[in-house]
Amino acid sequence: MLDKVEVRIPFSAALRPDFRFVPKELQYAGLSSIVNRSQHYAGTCDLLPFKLDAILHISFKRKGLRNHKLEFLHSGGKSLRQMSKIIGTVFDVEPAEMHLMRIDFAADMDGIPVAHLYGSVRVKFKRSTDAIGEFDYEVVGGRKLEYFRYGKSTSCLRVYDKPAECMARFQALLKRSNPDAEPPSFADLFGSPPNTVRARVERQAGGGRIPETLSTFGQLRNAASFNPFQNVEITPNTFPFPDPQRVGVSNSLKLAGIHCFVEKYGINRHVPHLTATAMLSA
Amino acid sequence: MDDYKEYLDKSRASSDLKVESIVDSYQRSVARQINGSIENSPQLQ
Repeated sequence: MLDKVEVRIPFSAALRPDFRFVPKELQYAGLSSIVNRSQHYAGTCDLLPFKLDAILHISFKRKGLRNHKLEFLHSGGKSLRQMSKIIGTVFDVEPAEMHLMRIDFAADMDGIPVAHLYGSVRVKFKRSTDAIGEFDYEVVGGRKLEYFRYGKSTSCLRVYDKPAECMARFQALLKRSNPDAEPPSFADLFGSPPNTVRARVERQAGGGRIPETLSTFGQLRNAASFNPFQNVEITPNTFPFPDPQRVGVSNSLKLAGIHCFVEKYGINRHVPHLTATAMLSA
Repeated sequence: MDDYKEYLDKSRASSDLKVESIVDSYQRSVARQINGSIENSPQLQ
C-alpha cells in the first residue's frame, strides 16, 4: 500500500475559499490559532476540523520557492480518489499534476514475526552490499516502539511490528472516541485482533529520492506495477531469532542460548557445554 | 538440542518467504487503493 503520501503544492496555487483564512492566521501561529508553528514551514494547519484527513503545511520557509505541502493522514486506508478529492478541496489545482515529496511503499506480511525478518532480510545499497538492519526506535502514543532500518531516513527500508504500533495508538484513539457510545474495540479500529502476527515492510522514499516514474500524484496510478523492493534480498538458512510471543520467553532464551554455542563452537562441538549447563541447572 | 534442531527445521519450513511475496503483498494492496475498493475498510493502517 501507499502508506504515506505527501504532495507539493506550488506557492502560486490558490486556496479554496474555505481555507483562505490560513495565510492570515500565520502571524498568530502557535498562539490561539488553528495554525501551529513549524520548523520548515511558516505554519501547519490540521484539517481534521474540516473533515479532511490531512495536514496543510503552508509556505516553505527555507531557501527556494515558498511552496506548500499537503500531508495525508492514514494514507494506507485511502484510495487515490479520496486523496485527490482532498487536494481539490483545499487548493484550486489539478491534483494529478502535483509533485510528490514523500511516499512510503508498504507491504504487510501476515504470520511473519519481525524477528524472523531481522534474521533474513538484507538490502543492497550502492555503497554497501547486503546491509544488515540497525535497530532504532520511535515513540508512538507514549510507548517506545522498536524497528529495524536499512539506510537512512528519509530514504530507507523499515521493518516493524504493525499490530504493536497500532496498540500504541489505540489508547489515544479511545480517548478521542465518543464518550456516550460504546468504545470501539481494537478489531473495530484496525480490522484484526491485537495478537495478530504481522510485520510491515516499508520502503520510504523522500528527500528528493522519489522514483522518476512516480514523480507526480497522477503517476501513482502506475504504482501497482512499480517494485519498491528491488534491492531487498531474503537470505535463507539464517537463524530466525525466536519470537517470545510465539515460542515463549523461556524457550526463546534457550534457543538463542543454544544458537550462541553453535555459532561459537559449531553444531557438533557444543554438546558437552550444553550437558554441563544442563547439569548445573538440574 | 532436539528442540533447537526442531525449531530450525520448522523455521526453514515456514520461511518460504521470498521477496516476491513482499512485492505481491504491496502490489495487491496498492491495486485496492487505485481501484477504490479499499475505501471504508478497516485495516492496520
